[in-house]
Amino acid sequence: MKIDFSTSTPIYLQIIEEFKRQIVTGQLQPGDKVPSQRDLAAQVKVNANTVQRAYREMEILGLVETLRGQGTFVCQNQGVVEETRKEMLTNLVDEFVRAVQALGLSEEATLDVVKTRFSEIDSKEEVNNK
Amino acid sequence: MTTTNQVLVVRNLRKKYPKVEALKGIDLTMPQGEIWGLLGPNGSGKSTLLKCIVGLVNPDGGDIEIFGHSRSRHTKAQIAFVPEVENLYRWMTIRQAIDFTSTFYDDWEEERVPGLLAFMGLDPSKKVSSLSKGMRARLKLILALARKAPLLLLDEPFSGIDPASRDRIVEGIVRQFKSEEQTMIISTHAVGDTEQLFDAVVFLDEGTINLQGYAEDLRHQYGKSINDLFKEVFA
Amino acid sequence: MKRFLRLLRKDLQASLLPMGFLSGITLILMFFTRFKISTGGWPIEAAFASIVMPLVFLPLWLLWQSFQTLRTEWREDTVYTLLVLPVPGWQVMLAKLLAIWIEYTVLLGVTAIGTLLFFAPLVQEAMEILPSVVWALRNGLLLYLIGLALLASVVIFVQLAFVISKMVGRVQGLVAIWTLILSGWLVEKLGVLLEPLFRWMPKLPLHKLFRLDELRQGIVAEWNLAPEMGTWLGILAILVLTSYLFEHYVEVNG
Repeated sequence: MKIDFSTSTPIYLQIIEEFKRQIVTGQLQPGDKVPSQRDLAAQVKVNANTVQRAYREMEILGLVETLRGQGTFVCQNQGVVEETRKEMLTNLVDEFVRAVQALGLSEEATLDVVKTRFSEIDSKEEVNNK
Repeated sequence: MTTTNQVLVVRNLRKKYPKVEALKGIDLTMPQGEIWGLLGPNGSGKSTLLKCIVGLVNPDGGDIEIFGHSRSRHTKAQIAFVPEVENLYRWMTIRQAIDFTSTFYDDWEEERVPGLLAFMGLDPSKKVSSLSKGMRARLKLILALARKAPLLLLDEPFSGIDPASRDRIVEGIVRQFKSEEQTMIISTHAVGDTEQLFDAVVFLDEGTINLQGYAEDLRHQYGKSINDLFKEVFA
Repeated sequence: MKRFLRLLRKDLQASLLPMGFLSGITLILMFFTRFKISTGGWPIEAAFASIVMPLVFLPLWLLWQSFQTLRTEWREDTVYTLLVLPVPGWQVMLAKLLAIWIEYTVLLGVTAIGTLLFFAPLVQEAMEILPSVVWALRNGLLLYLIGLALLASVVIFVQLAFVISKMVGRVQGLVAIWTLILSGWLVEKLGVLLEPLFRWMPKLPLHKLFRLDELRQGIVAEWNLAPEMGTWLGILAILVLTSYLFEHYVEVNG
């Protein structure tokens, strides 16, 4: 795992965000084993207490579970994955909507552009990938 | 935290050198299991504070308690101190420096030495005098990390060394530090990319603490990295 | 004990280079003198000079060394290692003293070996004047032991002077010299002061100890120990004081 930190926000939150991203994109599958706290700390060169705090929060959120003597695993519960996906999307959209509102643009005009751009960016990437 | 697991308590610590007042009343209380960054520009008193704690310098006033005891030979046995200066005997080989240090500490864990040497990329048959500054810094860190010392004091471990050595040292600290039984203070005048090492930071300016707190709280509170905060405070 | 031995080993290893150099110089000097004598270039008396010269130079070098061994720790910042070790100060001081004793012994040994190696006929001649080989060895050993004691006292004064000088921020050289003078004077006075306490001690019959009657009948040499006792107690007290100051009060250079 590699994380490019912006150290201007709490690091443990960024670790959680990274796990959420990987779970949502499927890089981490339900039941996958995640690095031990010490290994992750060493990989990303972050204080082990910070990693511990991130793992503790993720357990509370139900993203991961720690099995005694076996390690930490991504939660099997598909509902949690769905929920995380929804939450991330909501956060992104919220940010976007606020920015659009701040510019004083209307909902209809914006949604049209959103749809157009979706298809344009998709086809562009396909071309680029070929 | 209860008072029983305070590793270090410093009260109103003062130290005057002939030309400068290095510490003007420092108060600190440090719980077990954390890594603290002691941050400040050169001459802010960081080094003097660490030297006072380990016993290389005697304060003019105030108290120091290490695990509830005042400084003595006994507290020296509990502290692993890595000074900023080149404190190793230059004529020794790396192996000799390791053997020398290990003789004096009951908490030395010889079985971890080969792994540490390999991780730091050091050849034990090399002479200390033949090593680069970065390599010597790595060796100094090994001598501290091969012990299970309850309190580690690292004075400017990153200053003036190559980026590769700096990387190894940061990773070595993260890998080897055992928060269940150890506590660490790292002093530095260049926060840079080492700030994610610290649980808490203490900003020292001309012998006085002017900001102190848990790193994540400070980031949250100010919306800034510790490095940016440091630059702002000492601008 | 293993800690003390490690300190001693370190001090010995640290002086390995100058020791090797001095031993080499001594032997080369003797060899050269022997060569010059045998080719008729130098008179036979030159042999005595080449034996005596190292012996004169030896105490001077050891005095310098007793100062140097501490000074180097500060100058090369290794004092940062030494002062954080959880060992009592006396172990550090005694290790340094013992190292100097050993260096003294080794250099004496080298001189003796060189003498035997290069000037065997002279030694043989000397032996004919002296009562016996046993007598010579025995007295040589006694003189060596007295040398150890004198060396110790000097080293102990130097150690105190150095440690005290490191406790002040400036004019360290001046402080060291004055400490040397004052402590010497004090210890001397202590000897005079305590002399009455030790009057009961019998005089040490040096002529018996050195079996001088075997050399010539009727020599009497006695050593009144009473005024010495206070001095030696004072020197011991200085060793204790230096150790205490080193462990508790001395600082690295700010």
